[in-house]
Amino acid sequence: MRRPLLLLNLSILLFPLLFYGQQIDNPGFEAWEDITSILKEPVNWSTIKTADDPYIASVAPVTFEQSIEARTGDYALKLYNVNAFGIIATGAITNGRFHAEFNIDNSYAYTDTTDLQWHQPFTWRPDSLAGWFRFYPQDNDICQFKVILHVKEAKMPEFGTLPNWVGMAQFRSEPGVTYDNWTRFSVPFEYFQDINPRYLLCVINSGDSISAFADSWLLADDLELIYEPSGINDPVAQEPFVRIHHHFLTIELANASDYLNHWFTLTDLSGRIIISDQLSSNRVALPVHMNRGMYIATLQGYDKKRTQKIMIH
Amino acid sequence: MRIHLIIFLFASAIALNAQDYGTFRGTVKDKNTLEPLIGASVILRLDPSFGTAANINGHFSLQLQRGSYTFLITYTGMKSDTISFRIDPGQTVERHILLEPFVSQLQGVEIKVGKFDKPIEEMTVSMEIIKARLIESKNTQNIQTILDYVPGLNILDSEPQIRGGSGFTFGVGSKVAVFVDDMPMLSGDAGRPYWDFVPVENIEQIEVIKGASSVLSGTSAVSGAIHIRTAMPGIKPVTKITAFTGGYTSPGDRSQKWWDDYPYIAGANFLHTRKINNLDLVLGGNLYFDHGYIGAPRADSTVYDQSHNFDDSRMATQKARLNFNIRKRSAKYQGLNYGINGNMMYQHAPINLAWLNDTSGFFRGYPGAVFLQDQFITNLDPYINYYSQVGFKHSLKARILYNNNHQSNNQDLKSTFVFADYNFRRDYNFLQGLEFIGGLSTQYSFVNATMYAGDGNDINRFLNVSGYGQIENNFFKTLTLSIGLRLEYYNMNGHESDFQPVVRAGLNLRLLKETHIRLSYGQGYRFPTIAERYIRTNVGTFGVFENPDLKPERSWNAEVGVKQGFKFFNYFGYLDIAVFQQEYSNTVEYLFGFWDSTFSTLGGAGFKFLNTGHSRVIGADISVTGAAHLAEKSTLRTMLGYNYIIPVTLDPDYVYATDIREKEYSYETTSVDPAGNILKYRFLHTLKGDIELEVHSFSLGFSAKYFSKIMNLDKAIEDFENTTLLAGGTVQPILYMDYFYTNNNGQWIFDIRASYRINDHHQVSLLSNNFTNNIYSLRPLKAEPMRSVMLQYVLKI
Repeated sequence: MRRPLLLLNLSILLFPLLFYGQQIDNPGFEAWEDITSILKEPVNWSTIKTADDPYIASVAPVTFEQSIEARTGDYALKLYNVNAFGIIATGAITNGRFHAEFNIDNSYAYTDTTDLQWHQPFTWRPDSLAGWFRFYPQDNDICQFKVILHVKEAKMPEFGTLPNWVGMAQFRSEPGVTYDNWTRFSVPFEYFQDINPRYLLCVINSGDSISAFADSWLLADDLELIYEPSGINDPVAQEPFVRIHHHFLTIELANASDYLNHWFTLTDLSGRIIISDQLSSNRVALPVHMNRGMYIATLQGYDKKRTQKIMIH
Repeated sequence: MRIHLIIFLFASAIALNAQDYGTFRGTVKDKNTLEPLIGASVILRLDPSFGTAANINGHFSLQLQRGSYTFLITYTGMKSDTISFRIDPGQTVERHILLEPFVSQLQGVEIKVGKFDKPIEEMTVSMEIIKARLIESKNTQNIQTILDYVPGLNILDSEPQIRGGSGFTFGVGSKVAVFVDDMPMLSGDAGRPYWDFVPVENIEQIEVIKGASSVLSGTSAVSGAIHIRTAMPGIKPVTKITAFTGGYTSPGDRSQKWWDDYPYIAGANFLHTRKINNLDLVLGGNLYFDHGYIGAPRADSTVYDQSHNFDDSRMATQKARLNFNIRKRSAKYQGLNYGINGNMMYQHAPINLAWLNDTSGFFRGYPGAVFLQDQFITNLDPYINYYSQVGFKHSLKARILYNNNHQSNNQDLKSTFVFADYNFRRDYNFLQGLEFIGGLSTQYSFVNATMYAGDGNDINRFLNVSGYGQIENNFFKTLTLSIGLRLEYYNMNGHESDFQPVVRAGLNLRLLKETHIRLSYGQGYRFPTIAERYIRTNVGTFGVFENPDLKPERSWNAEVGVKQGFKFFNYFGYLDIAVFQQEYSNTVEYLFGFWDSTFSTLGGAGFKFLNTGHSRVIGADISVTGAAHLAEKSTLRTMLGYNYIIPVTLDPDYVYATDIREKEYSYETTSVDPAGNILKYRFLHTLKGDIELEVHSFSLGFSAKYFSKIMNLDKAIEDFENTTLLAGGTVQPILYMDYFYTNNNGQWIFDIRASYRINDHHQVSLLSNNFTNNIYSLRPLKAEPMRSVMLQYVLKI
């Protein structure tokens, strides 16, 4: 279904894209889905409540919620730490899945390579991880954003999967420092191997995973993978599939004959969907009127997904 | 021919040369009923220290030198009689004495209690009595319901508390010893009272000893003891059939009503007693069905685990019990009797640990916290007694009890309990009437249960051997002194043993004719049960962990009391006031924590029995018991008691455990409200009362109970609530704290009853318990019954 145009601003000038590259799915936490009749999770993200042991998932505390205090768009993600019987359950979310055991020391986040629901294919090599957050720690607590790019399986903590890690970016806030306003962080990726990854695993915590404090809470929004053209070492760079010309956005599949299996989505950086439509041919032109800013175009095929960043000045 | 039975433990009989003496013998019986007056005193008027007491058949016998004698025949509540005669060597003087009750004084109040068969006003300990009349008139089908009317004794979800001496541990490790006819009624594995196994249709009286009393009541009596005494046949055969039916009424809040059918209660008791020559027979039984007032768990639709939602019909209680007593009184050897008692029961019953919630789910179970139990239990109790002609009594009693519990959640259990007690009692008339009671007791439990594998084996064994003795003497009919000693030896599984002496002492001073002051000191000692030490099982997400290092509990009790008989117009009664102090050490509590990461539970979380340090209970009991003859065939009977306690920990900061997270456990850290150092699950004020007016064939009764609010409870309950609420609906929330803060303001519960005696054979009664339909809870997360209305018919032939 084609979404209606949200804004009409004739003063906008549309320019061709400057940067492009794969992004984390639902980076602005705009899309949410029901996991029970009264509980929602961000689409493409998973918490302990959808961990792989359904019994433990059911008894685990909820440490997240949809927040309307968004930096952009309608929603942000709120994570918070809770005290359950004197144990501090840290607010945590991943774009993979949590493996939960009664013995907490054996629990981890992981990429389930066998199930698309629990992993994000990712083959690019971004330069940096960036995002926006507000953080209200208790005591010396910190919040963390961590992304690993990897091949084969991976876990966080690594549990012997470190050889599969291609690169990692991690941001930790200053201990005990309150970030009362939306604050941008940006941390570079450190690459361990000179190969392209196959998957991206991201984990966000509202506390120090070793010594968290109850009632620390975090707002997260607008995650972004930064691709500086001069800095991108991308041996498998792809041709752009979206171009903007005048008031039209053109999607073109170079060698695709199965265009009916491709779904095009355009979101702003908050994750709000501007356009979502199934391709009707291998070259589609759509009229668009958008505010200036950066947008993410995603082309989801049958077996692969391509993402491209579009800048409108 | 003289028969010598068994052994003498602490004393020996005096050999008598029959040729120098004559024999004064006879019987003492009730003039109205012709019942033997067991223990009636036959004392020389010129020397009250010389005499004897009537035995179980009412017989007495004395050897006397040549001379003239005047004897007083006395029995509490009866008019005394005087017998004068002259006797020569070899002569036998035989008298059959019939004593007449004092109809105008304290009738129905004065009773004889305890192992010495003393009048209650001469006891050196605090004791409350419940007579058969009240038990029958309240249609008692479960002994707990009547015990809950004893001042100073509360039954908190089947767990007896005396004077605040214990908290709540789901019935495990009772701090109150329970006996039926001197046979222990606590389970061999967990020290849990077998309340349902008590033959309620044949109870003669219940004696509740308040305060540590391990010397005569053995282990478990760290805060008191309950002795239930059943009746033996009278002169006339009696057949009594009681049928009853009725049910629960809907709660006032109709959202709490969970049933669609009729929530009925029905059943019947029967009792037949008779003497056949020298044979005494008692046959009794009980059939009971209770629909149940708590429904099966129903988890919210968002809850992940729906596996505990079983059918409501399984929450009903069904019970069938049959018991018999056979006693043979030897015709050949006067004073010898022997017999065997037996009891067997099958019962299906639910065990409810927690409610679904504090509103619409008040009368439903919490998923995973309701267990279904099918129990078969049976016992055989052979015994032999010998009452000698020179004032001593030998008694040997034994029991073998088999219990087979099939319980959900893989908590099946089979246990065999063997008990034997040899008891010797003698009145030493030549020592100023000194009375001695002593004995040797042993009990052995053999328990086979997977859930008790904490010692490495499903089979656990527990042995307890004890010797005890107590002497008591009355000086000048004014001062009674008693002192006792018990030596206890315990052995669990052959490698855990302990030896412990306990003592008691008491004094009773008769200041005026009806004024008695008593002072007493007693010690209590309780070795942990198999369950407390070696349980290792799962309850839902949590574990229950063994604690092989659990130490025995100890206690002492000191009190001063006064019992004043009084007359107010036509009302004759006793006012009893006692002030007491009890101290406990190594108190055992059942606490939640993170104890064992090697067990398959949520982070090692679960429950464990722990010694939590020292505590003290100071308090006072006031009770008024009596009766008034208002007019011809019009009687008013009352029983009123108030109990006030200040139960405090003496070690609020004492860290008694550290869990696997290095979290320290103390009174401070485990209490919801540690501010006043008040112990958990205690009612500081309780008031119990019963009044019954009998006019000709009609009687009306009214009972009231008041429990003040519980001041403190385990913080784990609050943590459970907070944690389950955090789960976002995928776990059923455990909700209590709102109820605790808004409804925990003290509870009044009222019962009423009315009966009409059609003739000597037929009686109908209408009874309502909790007739104001108060929706209330005493122990956290447990709903007490809503109003019930019962119709009872008694046929007595």
